[in-house]
Amino acid sequence: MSYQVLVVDDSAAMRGFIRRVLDLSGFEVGRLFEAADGLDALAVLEEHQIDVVLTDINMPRMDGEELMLHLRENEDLQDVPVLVLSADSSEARMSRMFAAGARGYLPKPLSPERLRAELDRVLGVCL
Amino acid sequence: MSEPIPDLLAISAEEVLANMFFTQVVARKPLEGVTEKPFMGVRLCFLGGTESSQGTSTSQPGGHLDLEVSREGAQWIASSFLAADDGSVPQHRVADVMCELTNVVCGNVMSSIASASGFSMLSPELIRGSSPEWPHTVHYEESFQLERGWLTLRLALADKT
Repeated sequence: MSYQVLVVDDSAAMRGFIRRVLDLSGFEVGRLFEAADGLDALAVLEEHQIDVVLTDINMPRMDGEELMLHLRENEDLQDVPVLVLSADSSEARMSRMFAAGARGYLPKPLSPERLRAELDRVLGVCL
Repeated sequence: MSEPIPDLLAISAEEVLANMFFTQVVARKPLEGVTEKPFMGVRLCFLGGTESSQGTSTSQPGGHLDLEVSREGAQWIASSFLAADDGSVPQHRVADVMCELTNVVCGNVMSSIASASGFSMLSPELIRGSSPEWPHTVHYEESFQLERGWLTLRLALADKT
């Protein structure tokens, strides 16, 4: 089975890196979408059937926390699992993100193995 | 936080460079004898959070992390991160990668220093010319000889006293 993945990060370099890590992880990506912030991500989510969102926190216009709050308020999108990828792994930040609706949280630096394991967990993939 | 801040800065930088930017640190040392001016500089400012305990709240200090890198070091790190041929990465992409490196190192360091209280990072910005130092800050500096080129990190934390 392959999955439609949305990567949300304001850095084009980081989006490219995440694409590479996903590829190295062996995770089956059917189609990969990209967005530069929460607003762009909402537009993609309204147009396409997305299986999982990988999002950064700090972004212009709409950050990752706001994006999750918007998803929670939208009946059609509230069940889309969101995995936060961030350099900020403080207890305070992680608590806020889980309270906002994050299903998983991966501190950067990312490794293909950890990303794969977290994606499998969040999507309930049985290996 | 178990390590002293200079060690924390060095360990975080080495881990981030190796695991995410595919760049090994050859030596951690002051850049004695290096006369080359930095090719690129980045500053990332952060704000401290607030920690509450038993009815009292304490504000944690903010500060900034500066990164300076040689031309060779910047090209090497950017090429490794982007899986591109060495030297082929245009300058705006190199700048993007240096900003990400600063962001990830800063997040790692501050997550150890201020895990309970939290912190907020602003967007990293390229430093053009000399950048002003904040008053009442404590500075920590670590320099690294890389496989190619060098890198310096300076962490400034607002003095709580």
